[in-house]
Amino acid sequence: MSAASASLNRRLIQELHKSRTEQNPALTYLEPLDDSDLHHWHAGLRGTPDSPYEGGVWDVDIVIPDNYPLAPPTITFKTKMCHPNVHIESGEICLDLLKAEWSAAYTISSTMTAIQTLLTSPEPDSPLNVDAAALLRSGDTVGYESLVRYYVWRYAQKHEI
Amino acid sequence: MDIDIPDPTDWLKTSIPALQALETSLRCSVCKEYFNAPMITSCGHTFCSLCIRRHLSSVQKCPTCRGSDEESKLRKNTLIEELLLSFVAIRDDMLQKLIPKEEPEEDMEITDARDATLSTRDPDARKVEKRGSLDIDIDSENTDPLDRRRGKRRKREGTSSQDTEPEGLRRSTRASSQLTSILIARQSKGYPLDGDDELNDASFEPPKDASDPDSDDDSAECPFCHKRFDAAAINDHANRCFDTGGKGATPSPQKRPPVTFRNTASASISAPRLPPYTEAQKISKRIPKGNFSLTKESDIRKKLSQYGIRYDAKGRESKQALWQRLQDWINLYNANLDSPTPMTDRELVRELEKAERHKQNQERSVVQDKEFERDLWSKKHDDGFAALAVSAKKTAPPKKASAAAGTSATAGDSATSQDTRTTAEVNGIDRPEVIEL
Repeated sequence: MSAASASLNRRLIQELHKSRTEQNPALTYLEPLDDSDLHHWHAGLRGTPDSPYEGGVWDVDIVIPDNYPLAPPTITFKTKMCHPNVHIESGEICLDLLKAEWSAAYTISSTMTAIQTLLTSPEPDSPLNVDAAALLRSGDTVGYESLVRYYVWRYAQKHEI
Repeated sequence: MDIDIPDPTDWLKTSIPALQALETSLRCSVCKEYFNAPMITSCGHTFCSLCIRRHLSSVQKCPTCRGSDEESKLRKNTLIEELLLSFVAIRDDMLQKLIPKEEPEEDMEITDARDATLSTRDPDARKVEKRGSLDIDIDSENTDPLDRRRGKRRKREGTSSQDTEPEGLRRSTRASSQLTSILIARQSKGYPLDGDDELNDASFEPPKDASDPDSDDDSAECPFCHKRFDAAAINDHANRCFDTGGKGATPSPQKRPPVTFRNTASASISAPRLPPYTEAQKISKRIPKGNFSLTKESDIRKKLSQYGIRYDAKGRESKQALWQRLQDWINLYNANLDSPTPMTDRELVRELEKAERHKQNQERSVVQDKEFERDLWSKKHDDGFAALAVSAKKTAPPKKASAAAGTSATAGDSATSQDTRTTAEVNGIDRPEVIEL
């Protein structure tokens, strides 16, 4: 797919500009890793308030393909994340929005908000983390939540701002 | 990095931050730019012609609501186009007047504020809005859109100079100086919208667009006589031209032909413009998409050469690649038909080639990666670089070859850049990534 790269860069600069002037409450920061490369961003995702994820901040890696926004960005968790739809080792996210249901009207910032929403609405039926999903599917909410809290406490609190 | 690109958040620092919503809805949600030839889908969402065509050729769904849609159902959204024209014409002025610290005349600001708020609710308020913020428009504000368009068309055919002249002469010097000040203000801001041939576009192209190595055209077109001048001299000329009522003067921004907002700053502003296509012409000129598996590779080649698009004659490109190029071309071509100021086919071909070059440049960026290990890379590809140097020696003129004949990575690189220019033949080996040793 042809990417008129000039226009892609302009879109990315606009997104960057917008994220600088308008803070997304779901994020602690959102910017390119390096000023010379607009195609590789990183962000700090906040845990959803009033959920076991509250208080955690996860580093997220965002790779933007050449045909963005026609194709979705590749987003992975860098900080260990315990969630039924996130691979615990690779940080890969299973979210329809990042695959078949992607739409060009999404921005990086709105995608991050969607990922934050995923934290509180897991899909245990298509799990990447089978153990967490099994807990949820068997109805052990207490067990699931304490497992999540442990991981938040163990890994995701170092960025606390 | 250039972050001077105007975007809706500019309004947040003004006294009416709600204007952000107005501007956001005048921008395409795919490219985040102002709509370029806005098209409305069957589900009622509007996008740039090119954006929605590209999107629909990968997924046949509306980007906003995911309702299924087809290219053939797209229709022109004239209202948005006109709204946008009015908005862009007053944007900078409005922005300046609404920024609190600058303290303009008080009554002025109030009128502006009220009008601008109106406009967020009611599209029809744009005329009122204009009256408040841009004096020059007063004379022509009653012109209805149809008249305006007819005017434009006549002007394009070069017959309108007489009937517009009196209006130009009626104008006060105040209006003139105001016009120029807008011109200057926009230029100094490096307004990055690239337009076609008009005062508020051609003149405020950014001085250097980093993302576009091809833009070397520093000239701008005079809004009154439509002659081209050096960017440095355009202000003085426009002033003079306006005072003398300039041949074929364009007295007010409203009388201007529609502007296009193309994303890539390109050298094509100087190229001839075609009049907008009529609906009937569009229908007859549209290229059908075709079907990949039913189209033979030779037919794709035939089509490509019919439009003057280059492809590898030796057949080293896959059918998929050729097909992709043809599809890109069809999207560009069909979108161009919707543009109020279409480009010629040749310019379009240039645009296509430019996009492909950008794509290739980006593939090269492995070497620019932060974690890229220079020493390891040059060791691994030492032989390759040497081979490149040798091949450069053969193709380049004698003295240049001696400069390139080294075995270090840098020598290899300079050989590469020479090769790129010399022949397409070497294309296969001029990129370090391609070399597998």
